[in-house]
Amino acid sequence: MLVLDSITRRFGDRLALDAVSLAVPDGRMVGFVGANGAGKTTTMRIALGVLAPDSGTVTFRGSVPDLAQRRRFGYMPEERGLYPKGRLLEQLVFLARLHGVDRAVATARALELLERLGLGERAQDKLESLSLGNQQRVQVAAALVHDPELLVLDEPFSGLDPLAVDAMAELLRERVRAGVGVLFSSHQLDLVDRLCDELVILAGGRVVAAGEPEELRRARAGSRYALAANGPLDWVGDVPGVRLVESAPGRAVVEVTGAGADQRLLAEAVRRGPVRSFAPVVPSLSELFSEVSR
Amino acid sequence: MNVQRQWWLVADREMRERLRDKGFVFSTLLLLVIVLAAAFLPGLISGGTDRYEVAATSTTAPLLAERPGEGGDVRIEVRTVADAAAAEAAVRAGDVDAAVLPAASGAAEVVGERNVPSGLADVLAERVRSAQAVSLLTGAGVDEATAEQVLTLPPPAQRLLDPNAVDPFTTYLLGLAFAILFLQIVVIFGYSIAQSVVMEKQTRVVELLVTTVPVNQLLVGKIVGNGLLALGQIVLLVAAGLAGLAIAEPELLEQLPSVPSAALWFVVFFVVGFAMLSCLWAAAGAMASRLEDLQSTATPVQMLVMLPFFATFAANDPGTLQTVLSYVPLSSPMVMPKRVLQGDVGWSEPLIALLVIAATAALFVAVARRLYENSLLQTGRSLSLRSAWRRAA
Repeated sequence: MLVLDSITRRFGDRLALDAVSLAVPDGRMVGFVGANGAGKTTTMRIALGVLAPDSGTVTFRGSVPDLAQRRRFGYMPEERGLYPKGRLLEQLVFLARLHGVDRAVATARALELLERLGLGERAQDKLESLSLGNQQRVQVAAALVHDPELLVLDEPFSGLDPLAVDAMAELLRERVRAGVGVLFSSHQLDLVDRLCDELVILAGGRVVAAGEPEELRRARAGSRYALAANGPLDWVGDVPGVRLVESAPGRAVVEVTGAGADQRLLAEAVRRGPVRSFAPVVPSLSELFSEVSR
Repeated sequence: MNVQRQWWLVADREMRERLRDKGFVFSTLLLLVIVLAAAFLPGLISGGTDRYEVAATSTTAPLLAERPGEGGDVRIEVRTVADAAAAEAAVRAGDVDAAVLPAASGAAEVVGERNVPSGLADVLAERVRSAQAVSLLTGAGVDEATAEQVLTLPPPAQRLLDPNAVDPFTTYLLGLAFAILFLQIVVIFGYSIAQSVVMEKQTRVVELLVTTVPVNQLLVGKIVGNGLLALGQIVLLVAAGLAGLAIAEPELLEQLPSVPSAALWFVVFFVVGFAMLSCLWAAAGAMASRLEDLQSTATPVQMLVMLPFFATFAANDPGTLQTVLSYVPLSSPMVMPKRVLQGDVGWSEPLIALLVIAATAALFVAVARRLYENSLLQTGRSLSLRSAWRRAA
């Protein structure tokens, strides 16, 4: 498990990270979301030891990672980073060897990854001759080629078509099943929702929400209910302990403020006619995100 | 894998990339051709015989007989034509290089189209004058053998006190060759280090690299990779130059036995000097964030090579200034080998100069390392020296 504990970092006068704490357990996929400039990349750089925090600690499996341990991390930087004129296989082998993998193993792994990513034929091509999407796949291969124990991926899915997203997600899932912890950032919230086991939301350099997505939504859902029933619903605001948030013919969203008011509302609705549904409103991830990021 | 070998992986990649670059291979070949040409061409140009054809009338042709004991490399073929007009026509048509025609009162004139090659003019004048002198002397009753003898009196003999002393111009040229080579190769490879650093910044490869390679190792790898190629080029060029001289100008190497040892010292000075300067080039690269910025961040480093190079021109001759510059770390790689060439110094002086460079290199590396490390992940804009220095503090 990678643990960041109260990480604070300033750039000049600007407070980039304010006591950020988060954990990436082994075998879990942690989605990392936040608006541009929220501090995601800085957090990731600090987690990898590329940048030093002003205060706070980073630990991996209980101890502060040294270089040998950090070499077991895999990283995909947001702005990418490979040699445009380098041949695919050669660069992957180079990177793997820098991480301590010997040449033969590195070559075998690189070839296997390229094969899986559909780039087996192009192993000897220069990176710059590939389409952007394919370059992105190579970048993922670069993060995986030394068989890391932890993956930190900054926007791994941006610029990929849906099929490529699925292929990459499957590749990552596989690693997760093998016990690798993955921290990945993304602006595609539906994708994060679909893929992640846990979620960390960063806003203005602070963690504003963290946990399993389902749990987070339920916690936020709390007091809101949606009622669908026949007939006019303008009466619902008159039920004691219930405040009408919005209504449309046949549907109303309310905020329940008093204890037991939800049951009173339901009883009243049933008395007035058939009720088609009555359920707590669970916010979508984007609703959750825009709410906590505000 | 042990950490110590990472720098070698970086150096290895650096060399592969450079060797695969056609521009690099081409420029190496070009330099090689230039060095060989410099060794061989002077001999080729000055050597050989010049052949001329000269038109003459039946009156002037006897004046052009070859003189006994006539030295030099000029061969003249005399073509006798009908009259002066025919001779002038031949000159105009370019069939002959010049014509010798009768002039007023028994004299002769040399006729050329635009000019008469000076070597040819000298020989023609000598022949005509001698022939006329012989005819005047025999006319005055001197027998022809005596007349010839008078005309071929040998010039006073020369006696040289130090015939083997080296032409200062030769040492000047060789010294200049060392200085130019040093400047060229340091700038070429310095730039390629800086470019390689800024490319890694620009493409963000460096973000991946620093997660696994300590910045020191990255810096060392770049310097070693490019340094080995630079050393290879220097050794190749110096060896080609020496071999060229040995074949084309063997007498020069006899006169100047210090050439090989000067060349050896030059290579050693190059290695240490390159180590000293290359780290600064790396720092200049790190301070730029795009290739276009490199020009401005690399200028100060370039000055550190160019200014000492121009300073060496003020120190062509042995003297205090030359001695001082041969110890100043930035200029000593360009000056000390020349002093070895002049035979002024033994082995201890170059050794001391090397130590001075090594000490400077240690200082430069420390400074460059800090600039490099601080700037490496700053990708927004190119950094000023001050902000690059301060950032870590």
